[in-house]
Order: sequence, then C-alpha cells, then structure tokens
Amino acid sequence: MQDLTDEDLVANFRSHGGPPAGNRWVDELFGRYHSKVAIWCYRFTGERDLAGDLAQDVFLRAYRNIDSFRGNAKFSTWLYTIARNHCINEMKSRAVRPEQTSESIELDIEDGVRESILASLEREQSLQSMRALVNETLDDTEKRVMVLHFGDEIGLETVTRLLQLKNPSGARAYIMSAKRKLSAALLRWKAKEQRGGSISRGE
Amino acid sequence: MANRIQEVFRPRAECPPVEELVLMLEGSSGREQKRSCEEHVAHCVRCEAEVALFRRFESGQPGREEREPVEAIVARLRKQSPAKPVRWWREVWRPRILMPASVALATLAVVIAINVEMPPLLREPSAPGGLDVVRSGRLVVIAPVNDISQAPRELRWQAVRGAARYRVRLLEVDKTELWRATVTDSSATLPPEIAARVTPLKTLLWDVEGIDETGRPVASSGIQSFRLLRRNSQ
Repeated sequence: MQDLTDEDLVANFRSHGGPPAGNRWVDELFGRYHSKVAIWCYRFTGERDLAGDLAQDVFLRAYRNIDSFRGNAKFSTWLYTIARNHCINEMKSRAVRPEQTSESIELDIEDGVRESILASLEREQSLQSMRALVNETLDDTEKRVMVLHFGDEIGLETVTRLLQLKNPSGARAYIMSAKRKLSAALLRWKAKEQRGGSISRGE
Repeated sequence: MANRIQEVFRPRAECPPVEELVLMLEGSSGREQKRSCEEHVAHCVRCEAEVALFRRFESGQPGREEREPVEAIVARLRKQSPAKPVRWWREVWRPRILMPASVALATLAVVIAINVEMPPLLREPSAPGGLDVVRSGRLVVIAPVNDISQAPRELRWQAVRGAARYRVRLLEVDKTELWRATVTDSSATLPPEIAARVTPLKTLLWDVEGIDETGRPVASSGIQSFRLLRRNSQ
C-alpha cells in the first residue's frame, strides 16, 4: 500500500465501493497528511486543542467530499485547499480574538497627494500598473505578508507563524517596511505622472 | 485609497485556483501552459504567495517548538480518523460475505439470547411496535468528546448507512435530559440557550442514535462525555 500514489489510493477506495469497505485506502492516504495538516492548523491557530479541532474538521470534510476529488488534480493540493479555506473561514467566523491584531494599509502620504493618487488608481489600467509596481518594489516576504494580511485578512500573529518569521515583531515589521517602500514608489510615480508619464516598471 | 491598494493583493479573475497553478507549474498540462503559468506567477504577487504557501504546507516540517503540539494533534487524528478501516470481525458480518441464511440465523440466535439471558433492566428500549431492538452498528461520534478548549456549537458524528435520521440528546451527568432533537444531517446545532449551559469544568453527556426509514434504530453511539476547559488551563 505504501508504494501506491495518493491518487491510486483514492481510486482503490472508489473501486472497493467507497465507505466502509474502501476505508483502509483512505485511512492510509489521510495518514500521509496528518502531520502536514496538523502543522498547518497549529500555525494558523497557535493553540493545540483548537488546531486539533480544525484538523479533524479538515479530514472529515475531505472524507465527506472525496467524491468531488478529480483524478486529474493532485490530492495534496485538493486537501490543502480544504485546509486553507476551512482555517480562514473558521477563524473569521469566531469572535474577534484578542491575540489577533491587524494593521491598516493606509500609506504615509500627505492628504492632497493621496487623493490625487486615489483618483488615478480608479482607472483599471493604473491598478494593473500598481500591481507591477508592488511586484517590483517589495521583496518576496513582504509580498506574501501583504497578500495574507490584506488579501485574505489573516491576523498578523497567524501570518507570522504561517511564514515562520523569526524577527521580533514578525509580520508587522514586513508590513511597515512594505508600506514605506510603497509610499515612496507611489510618490515617485505621481511626480512622473504629473510630468506626463504613467506607472511603469523599474520606477 | 486603502481599498484600491488592497485589491492588488486579492485574486483576480485570471488567477487560477492553486490546484491548477501547481499542476501547470509541474508541467502536467503541457510545456506551453507551464511557461505561461510561470510568466503569470512571476508577475502576480497573489499567485506567487499562493504557490509559496502551498510549498510550505507540502514540505510539512515542524519547527522545534511545534513538534510536541503537532505530535499530540497527529495522535488525536489517528485515534479519531473519519475513515477508520472496518475490522475483520465486522466485515465478516457483512451480508455479501456471509450467506443471507447465516445472517438470519445469527440474528435469530442473538434475539433469543437477549430474551432468555439478559435481565429486563439491561435490555434496550423497545422500538415502536413493541419489537426488541437489535443493534446493527456502532455510531462514531466526532465532537465534542473529552476535554475541549472551545465551547461546542454543535454535536457531530459520522453518518451511518441506513440511517434516515438521528435522535440526539444532551444530558447532565446524572442523565437528566437537557435537550433532544431529531435531525437528518450528521450534526445538530445546539440552541443558544442550551449552548449557554456548557460552562467551564462542567461535564456533560450526550448520545446519538441512527434511525432508519421505518423508525428502527440502526446504530447508537452510547453515552459520550465532554468537559469545557478553563481558558487558561489549556
């Protein structure tokens, strides 16, 4: 059984008529991911018992929905998607957790210039250029921290654990640094736009 | 401005789900798709972060301080797997293995044994119609059980084949019934006034019974207990 791929195990589960006769295949399959899901849930919550609850939920959902697993995808990404979405949704649905803090995305730019930049960003083309600017301006860790915190609204402590940031202030330090860089880049862009240019790479 | 900048970090319509991203990056969808996906990821902060996060999940190595809690969670997952293999002695009782006549004979023997040998107090309650109940399966509960850190909002168990609905009860430790419900799903949400009765360090009991279309019990969990821990005692 150990020689079989994840996808083979799912196929065997199905060919044995699903539950309960096929359970041993899925039990083997899930066992391969116990540790991965446990680590993920523990990093998400920072609490052993809560992480255990979430991890159990993840496998239960996977078990219930295994019919929706398509053979042309990888089981690992399928399970990861369940774990990722379940943890994000569960943490959002719970009451605001005092240990979870967030940071504002407001950049340190004076009001008049900020309004002017905002007006420019209303144009879709400028937003696309802004994406390019962010991509060129921030380093990989800053980008990931910004995506998780502002894109997925994941608390800073969780982001710190998920990305295993070891610096004393964790994700917050990367956000501060990203905001400083973006403020400077946007001001340079605004100045150039006023001279008749637009946001471009390498600014 | 905040919202517009925030949009930069959110997925766009053209961003594939991570399942497809990983497949394309590994070349399963062809060389051209791989190249175009690499190009997309190189310029999309969102997708780059998604792939990086998945790689972290996949590598799955706990840090030194994570080892002990992760091992505890894994032990719990092994113990309460939703896909527990069926034991050989249960498999033997499946009709496809045992001839139907043997099953009927065994059932008859069990019914006779219960009626003859068991004292009346130990008998299962009668089903509607006055027939004695013959349990055909154990119903596996999922949560809450044992010590828990979060107040439960619902009671959950594994669905059993043949059960059209489930009768679930929440009890005090002296078996006084606090609440009961009949549901068709494999979970029952506790009403707020009942959920409020779950207080730290108070042990409560619950059980659930699967019932088939005719009202006959097909599986029972037996009495389960749980206790909400104090916030600082985890």
